[in-house]
Amino acid sequence: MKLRRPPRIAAWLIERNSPLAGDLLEEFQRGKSRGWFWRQALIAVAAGCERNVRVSRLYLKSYLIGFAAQVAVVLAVRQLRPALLSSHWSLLFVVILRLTVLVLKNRVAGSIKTNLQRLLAGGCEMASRKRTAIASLAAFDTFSMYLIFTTGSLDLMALFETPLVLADLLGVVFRHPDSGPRVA
Amino acid sequence: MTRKGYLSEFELMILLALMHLGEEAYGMPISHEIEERCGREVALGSVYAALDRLEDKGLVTSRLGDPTAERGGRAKRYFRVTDHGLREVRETQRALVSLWRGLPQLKEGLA
Repeated sequence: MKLRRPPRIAAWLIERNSPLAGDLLEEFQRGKSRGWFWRQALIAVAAGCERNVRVSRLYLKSYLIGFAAQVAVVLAVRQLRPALLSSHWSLLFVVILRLTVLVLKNRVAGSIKTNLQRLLAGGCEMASRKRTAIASLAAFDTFSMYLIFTTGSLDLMALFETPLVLADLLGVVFRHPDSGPRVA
Repeated sequence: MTRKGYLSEFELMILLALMHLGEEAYGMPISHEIEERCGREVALGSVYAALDRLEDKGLVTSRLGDPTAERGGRAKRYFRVTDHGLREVRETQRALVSLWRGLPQLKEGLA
């Protein structure tokens, strides 16, 4: 049996959402029109954009919670135990925090791997968003390391690093869509 | 007592369609099931968006089937209602029936 070819651009728009693309192709082979295929592809892209806005709001919320928690911790330590902000304790704190970040990043890398499956089966929009997230994380990390080495300031480091850690943790706790596999 | 996150009409339709379809519930049949039973056309993208939301909430799970040539070598993504999803459907049904009960307008067929 000779298979019909769907509109090329419309097919490209949805090619990374593999199950959806497969469903549309299957239906197209059963006689649906090219106009139908186009309409379905455009609606799928619009629906994907709406989902991304929702996911971004979740991530922003967890980052803001993390930031507020960090400010509260630094202020409390300053008031109650100023000695903890001395250079020795700062160094220990930095090491512990760096290790935590390292562990969490491994966890995030796991998510990236599972999201790769999702990328192939869950939505073309996830690709650019995930790339942006990875790039931002790397830039953030580089910048915070620069601050640590050049200023040695615990506050500055913590202000940049801790919210990220907490945001990641919150993402895991609340089953952030970025953090877990959903396609078995 | 306040209760968060009632199912939307479309989400409820999708969960019920999944229950009707059983093991064969993937994108296109779900879409057809809703069209046939509710008499309204639904876009596949909207169906997948709602299924993703339901999966986020833990009300459905999905697995990938085998790829076929007709689908350009792409696998089907099968969906199933979880126990949590089933409880949500029952709860929504209970709430709707409770609201429905004793409405004279509906008895007279005006609504």
